[in-house]
Amino acid sequence: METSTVVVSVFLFSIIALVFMPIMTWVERKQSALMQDRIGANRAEIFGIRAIGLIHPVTDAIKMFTKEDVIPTGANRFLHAICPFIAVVPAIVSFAVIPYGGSYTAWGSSWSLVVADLDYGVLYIFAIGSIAAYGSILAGWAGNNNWGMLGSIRVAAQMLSYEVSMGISVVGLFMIYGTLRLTDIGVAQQETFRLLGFVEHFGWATAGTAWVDFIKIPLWGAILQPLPMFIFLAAILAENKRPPFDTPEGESEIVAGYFIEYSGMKFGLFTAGELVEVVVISALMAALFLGGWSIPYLPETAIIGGLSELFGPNLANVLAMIIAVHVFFAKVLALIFFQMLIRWSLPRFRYDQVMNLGWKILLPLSIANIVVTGFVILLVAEITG
Amino acid sequence: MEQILFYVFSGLAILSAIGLLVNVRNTVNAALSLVVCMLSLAVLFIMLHAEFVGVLQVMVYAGAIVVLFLFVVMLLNLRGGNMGAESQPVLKLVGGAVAVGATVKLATLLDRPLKPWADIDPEFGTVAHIGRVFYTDYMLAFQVAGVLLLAGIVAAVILAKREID
Amino acid sequence: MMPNLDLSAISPMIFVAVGAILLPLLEVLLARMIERRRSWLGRTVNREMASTAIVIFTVLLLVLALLRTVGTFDLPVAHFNLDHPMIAVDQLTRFLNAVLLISAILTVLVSSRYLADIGMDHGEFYALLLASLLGMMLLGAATDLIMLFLALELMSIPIYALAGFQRSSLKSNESALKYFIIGSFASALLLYGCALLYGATGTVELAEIARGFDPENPLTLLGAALVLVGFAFKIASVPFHQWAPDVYEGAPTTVTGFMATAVKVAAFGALIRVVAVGLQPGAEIMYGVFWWLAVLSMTVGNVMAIIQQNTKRMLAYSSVAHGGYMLVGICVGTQSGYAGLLFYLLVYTFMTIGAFTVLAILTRDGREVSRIDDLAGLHETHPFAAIVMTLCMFSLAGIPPLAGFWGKWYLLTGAVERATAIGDTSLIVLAVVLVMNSAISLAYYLRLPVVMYMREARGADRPDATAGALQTTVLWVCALAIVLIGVVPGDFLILFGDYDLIASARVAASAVSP
Repeated sequence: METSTVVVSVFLFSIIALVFMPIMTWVERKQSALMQDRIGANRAEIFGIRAIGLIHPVTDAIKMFTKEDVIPTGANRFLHAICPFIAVVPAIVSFAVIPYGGSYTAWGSSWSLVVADLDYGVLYIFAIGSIAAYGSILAGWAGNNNWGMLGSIRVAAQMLSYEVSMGISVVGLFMIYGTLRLTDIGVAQQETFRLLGFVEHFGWATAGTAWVDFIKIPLWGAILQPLPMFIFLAAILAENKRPPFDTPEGESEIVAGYFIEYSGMKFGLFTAGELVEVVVISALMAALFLGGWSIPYLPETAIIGGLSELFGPNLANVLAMIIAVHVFFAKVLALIFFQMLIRWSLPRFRYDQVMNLGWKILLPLSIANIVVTGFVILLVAEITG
Repeated sequence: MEQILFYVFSGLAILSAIGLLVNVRNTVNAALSLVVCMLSLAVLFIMLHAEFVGVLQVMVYAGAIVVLFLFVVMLLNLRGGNMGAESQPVLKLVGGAVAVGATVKLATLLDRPLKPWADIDPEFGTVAHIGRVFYTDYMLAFQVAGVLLLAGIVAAVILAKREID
Repeated sequence: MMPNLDLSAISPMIFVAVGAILLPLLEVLLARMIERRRSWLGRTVNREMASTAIVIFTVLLLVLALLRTVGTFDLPVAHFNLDHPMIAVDQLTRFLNAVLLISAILTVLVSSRYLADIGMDHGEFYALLLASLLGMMLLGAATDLIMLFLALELMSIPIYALAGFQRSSLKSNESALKYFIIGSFASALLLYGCALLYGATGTVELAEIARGFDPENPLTLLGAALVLVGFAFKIASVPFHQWAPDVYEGAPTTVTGFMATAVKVAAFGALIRVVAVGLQPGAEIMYGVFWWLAVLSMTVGNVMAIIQQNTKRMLAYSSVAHGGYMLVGICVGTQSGYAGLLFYLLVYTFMTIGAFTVLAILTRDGREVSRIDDLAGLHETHPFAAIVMTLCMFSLAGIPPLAGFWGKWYLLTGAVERATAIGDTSLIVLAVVLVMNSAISLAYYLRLPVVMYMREARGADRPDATAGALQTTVLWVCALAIVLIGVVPGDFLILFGDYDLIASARVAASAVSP
């Protein structure tokens, strides 16, 4: 990989990780206020500047850092100390494989908008995500608190259960795109598919008939695999332990669950990890199901081709890159907003409902989806030759 | 660079494996040693171009099996100290000596030139390659593994189902 | 790109696999029908109808598989995946499959009533049995270490669960747990051995391993040794036998019968292939190992069996001793040795299943007739069972002209032939040990007939036995088989007369050119 590529990727990477984390707390507050017809946090000010509540994350940080760090008696000090980090680091490093755009060549150097273009990209995120479970499980255990322990048990059961449906629900996508590499999936989603192609196959219309070509669908994951998209979303929300799957926290039952014995910045890290994960989920959903950086019916090659005529190939590539990043983050922001909507709309599931949903509904549906998808793929291959 | 990584992670794997043995009475620590061991092995796999195996190692072993282990430990609230038979120092010594001897012997036996990277198919270890081999050459083994898992599930259900009839 | 598959080569295994997959579904369906009081053919579905349906389905599949196996016995070697054969369907595989299927059919027939008696009449039993059977059939056919290990696990894991199938019984639970832990340990050793063999030879195919086998290389030897230890655990040979009595005692009786026969058949089949093909270059070193395993298994098994008071424990030690007799065939290592071993496996299956069937029909309301003395007076309450038990005991002891005698006879002649051919006295010693042990075994095998016929039953404790029709059939089959094979043993041995088992196994194991 060229140095320039690395610089761009790491730059974007650090922006997301560092900027999103505090801003997300603001988004969450303001969004909830919006939904509940309130004004929301807007009191913190620096020299009279309130900036629609954007100062609040700063005050939050100051508060967290200056609070006393309490380690309860009987706690396992080592585990108690490292758990917040185990919880937050996986969320941040997950960004490494998410592509913000395709590959671009300008002035002789090539730019690929992904930090690590791994062959097993999606699996990497799943693997890293499964490590994050330890942060929460051990946090509850290390604090020597029975509520915490209950939280830990719930985390362990929930994350284990939903990991299965999460992994299996996207297998259909891998079968369609034939890869696990997220950049390849992104490129594949630029294409469109002639829905009425079978008409030509059966000889009902001659090849190249206008009305056959007219109806095309973008090869987005959301269109090809709508059901798995919702299964995946539900499963990954449960993985993140956000409402309505926040039984491990369960304020009304087990106080704060697994991070009950944390205060100060350690507590802050758990919240930060959760919020960063919201961004990861959105980015992953966008990359897998919402076409990544693609615009429907407007493939990137067409964008670059059109812009090249106006500005020349180098500038066209740079502009296309900027467009791609914006398109991608527009999708990410929309998905973040959607997740917040869910968070403030749905009540918390009961613990047994969480388990039933995971094992008895999501898992069978995702397995059935694999079978159906395989069948359809063979059918389509048969028809299109 | 690769050498340094190799020695760091193989050392970590060995240390955590020893940690697993030492902590046999403290179940949570033992489980954590196991996780560290699995993760180090995963790194070694990845360095051997077996990336898929490495990631699965993290996902399945570190991410699922040990989590399940911890789940059980917490459910039963095993805080350690009250399990295991009385120690048998002679057996321990003999066992340790045999283990060390066998390790040293194995290490000397395995000290031989490895296949150079250049000889290895660039496709080796990719998901596509593994998938292809799975569904052609190892088709039968793959299917049998499926029946094995099914039998395991049926066995678990019949042994653990709360009320039967 | 498409693999070159020959499904007809493994059709018996496919029948069994279909059963293993469909039976849990069938059970769920039937349980649902019972729950909702659905009727079928004008009758409300009840548990009895459900189990009948399940048993008929299971037996039908097994009989189809058996017919297919026997019908294709004379065909040349077949492979499932011609590009990359992991199993070979040759005469050895087909014979083992036939014996395994017989063992499974008999077990299923006995089990339907036995399970109802112990209150665990669930279709999952048959599903697990078939899954295990599939593993056994593949184990005998495996020519590849990966397949060998997978098949071994597929054989073992359902058996662990079956051993603990009687959930209400603490002994059954203990049995399952012990078997599971020891079995996992054995599997781990075997797997480590496989890994070392792979490390030493760079291949997992038995034929290739033989090519790369260097008897001077400690790595290879350690790998081979660990593989053999894994097998020794599975066939419960001394000193890897301690689990056997507890497991055999605690497991449901019909499962014990299946465990004692089918697991041994499959493990010995795989052992023949591993020893005769993969580890052939190390035969001389392994000879010593097998010699000691055989002598120890025979002697310890028989001596320990004498002091047992519990029938199932006694039969467990007897099974250890029989494992020792069979190891003599491995020690001989020639065509006649292996043929004798295979013949012994067939005979042993009938004798052992017969004995365990008698024990199974004596079970009432979950209470088993455990002590040998409890059998007193059986000839009055259930004379036929007593006769079959006596036949099985005589045959196990090797009294002519029953089948068990001929099994030992062929092993003996094989050993003596080989010994005279190469002038090796140690084989003669082995033969002498075998004969002496047969004499020792009379001490406990004859005790059962003595108790059954010559001792009065003690009041209310007399064994109450009313066998179901299927169970009586099994008793008849076992008794007839023991007598018939005893009368015309040659006809059964001749099955292998025309086939050079070792050469066949070697040809089958070497890769087929695509």
